[in-house]
Amino acid sequence: MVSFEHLTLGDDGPIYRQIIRFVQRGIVAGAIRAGDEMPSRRALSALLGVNPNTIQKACRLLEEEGLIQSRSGAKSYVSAEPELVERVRSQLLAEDARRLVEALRQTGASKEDCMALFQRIWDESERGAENE
Amino acid sequence: MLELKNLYKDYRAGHISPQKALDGVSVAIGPGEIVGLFGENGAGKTTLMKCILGLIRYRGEVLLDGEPVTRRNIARLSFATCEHSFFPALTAEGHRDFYRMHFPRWREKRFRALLEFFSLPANRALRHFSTGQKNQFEVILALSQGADYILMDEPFAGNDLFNREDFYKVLLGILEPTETVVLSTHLLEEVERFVSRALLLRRGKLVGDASTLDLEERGGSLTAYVKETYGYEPDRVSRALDRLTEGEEEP
Amino acid sequence: MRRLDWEALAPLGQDGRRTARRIGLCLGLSTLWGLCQFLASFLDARQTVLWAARLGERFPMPSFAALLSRTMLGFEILAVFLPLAAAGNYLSHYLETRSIYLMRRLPDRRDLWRRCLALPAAGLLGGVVLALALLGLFLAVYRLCTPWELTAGGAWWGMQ
Repeated sequence: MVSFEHLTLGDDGPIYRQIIRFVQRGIVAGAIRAGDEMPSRRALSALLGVNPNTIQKACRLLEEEGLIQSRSGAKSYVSAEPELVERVRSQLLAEDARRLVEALRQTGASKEDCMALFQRIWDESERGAENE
Repeated sequence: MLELKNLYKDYRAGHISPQKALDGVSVAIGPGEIVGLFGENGAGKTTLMKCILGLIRYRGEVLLDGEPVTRRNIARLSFATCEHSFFPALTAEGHRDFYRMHFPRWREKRFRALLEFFSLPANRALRHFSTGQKNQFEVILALSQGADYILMDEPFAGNDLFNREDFYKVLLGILEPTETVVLSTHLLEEVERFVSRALLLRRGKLVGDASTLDLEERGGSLTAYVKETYGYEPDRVSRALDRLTEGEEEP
Repeated sequence: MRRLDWEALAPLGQDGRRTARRIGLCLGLSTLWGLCQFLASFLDARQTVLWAARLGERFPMPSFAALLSRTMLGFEILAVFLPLAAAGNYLSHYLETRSIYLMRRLPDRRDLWRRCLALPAAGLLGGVVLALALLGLFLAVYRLCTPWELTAGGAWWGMQ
C-alpha cells in the first residue's frame, strides 16, 4: 500500500498537484514501486483532510499520466514501467532545476559564480554522505 | 438536489437595521458536495439553514428533489447547531432510542463508531458533558440521523484545533457520495481543503459561489477569494496604525 | 396500571410517570378537599337549621350554591396551573439547549404536542370529570339529607 503518511500539504500550489508530485517523487525515488496498491479515494481523503473532489482530480490525472491504473472494482495500483519512471524523473529534475535557476537568478549572481557554488556544495554533500 | 429559490426573510419587528436577513438567495446544492457557508455575523447563515429546515417562515421556495420540505421528506435533512439541539437531561443512549424511533434511516453502526472514536460516555446525561463533547455529540447525531443533507451551523465553537482537525478527517472518511454537508463556519483557513464549494453570504445576499478546485486552478486560495469578495483591504491595518502613530518617535 | 409508555407523554428528560402521579395526587387532594369542605359546610348548615328549628326559629337552609363555596378550590387551582404546566413543557425546549429545533424537525408532527399537552390535558379532563362527579354527589347529599320542610319556599335551591 502506498503510504501518504509523509505528505505534508503546504501552500505551494494546488493540492492535487502536490499529491501528484508526491507520487511522482516516490516512484522516482523507488519508495513507491510498481504494483503497490493505492489507498481508496475515501481513505486518502480522510488521511489528508482533503475533500474527495480534489483527490478524484489527482487520481484522474495520475491515471492519465499512466502512473496508476485501476483494476478490479475501485482499487488502483501503481503501474510504473521503467521508461515511464525515467520520463518522470527527467521531468521532475527539469522542474527542480528551473526553480533553482530562477531563485539564483533573482539574487543577481552570475552564472559562473552559481556554477562554482553548485559544484562546491555537491562535492561537500557527497563527502558528507561518504563519512556517514 | 437541494434548491433554494429567491429566499427572502425580514428581520423581526423592532430590529434596528432596515436590511433583510435574507435578500433573494438562490442556490442549488447537489448530492455529495461539501459546502462551506461563509459570512460575517448577521450575514444570514443561520437564518438560511433555519429556512431550509422549515424552522422559521420565509418567502420563496425550498425544494428537495423538486418537492417542498414537508413531514414526508424532512428526515432527509439533519441539523447540528452551536446552540445544541439535544436534550440535556437525556443520555447518549436515550438520544439514540429517540432518534431510532423517529428516523427510520438511523445509522446505528456509524453512531456507535463515532461515540467510541470520540470516547463519549453512553450513559451520562448530556448536561454533564464538556463543551467540546457536547459539540461532538451534536454533530454525531446529525451524522447518524440518516439524512442526505446535513446542515451544521458553527458546530465547532469551543473545540480545540486537534479536535476539529480530527473531525474533518473523520467526516471525510465516513461520508458517502450521496451525503451532502453544508457547514457554516468562521474558520476559513481550516476548512479550505475540506470543502469542495464555498458560498459567501453578505448582509443576506449570496455574493460568492465557487468550487475550491476552480479556485485552485486559477491559482487563488479560498481565503484570497473571500477577502477579495468582501473588499477586504490588506493594508487597512497598516494605514490605521500610521494614523494612530503619526508624530510619534520611533522607539 | 395498563402498560402505558409514560415517557412518550412528557417532554424528553421529564419523568412522565412521576408527573402523572403528581397530577393524580393533586386531583386526589382536590377531591378530598372538596369532600371535606362540602361536608363541613353542609353539616354545619344542617346543624344550624336543626338547632334553630328546635328553638322554634325558622332558619332557612343555605342554598346549594352557597354551600359550594371553596369546595372546588383545588380544581380551580389545577385549571390555572395545568395550562401553565403545558406552556412550561413547551418552553422547556428552549432551556439549556434548543431541543425545540429537533422536535420541530420530526417527521411525526404530533410528538411535540403530545409531549407538551398529554398529561396536563389528561389532568384537566380528569379534573372536570371528578369535579362534575363531586358536584353530582354533593347535589344528591343536599337533596337527600336536607330536611325538605326546612328549606325556604319549596324552591329547593333555597333562598338565603
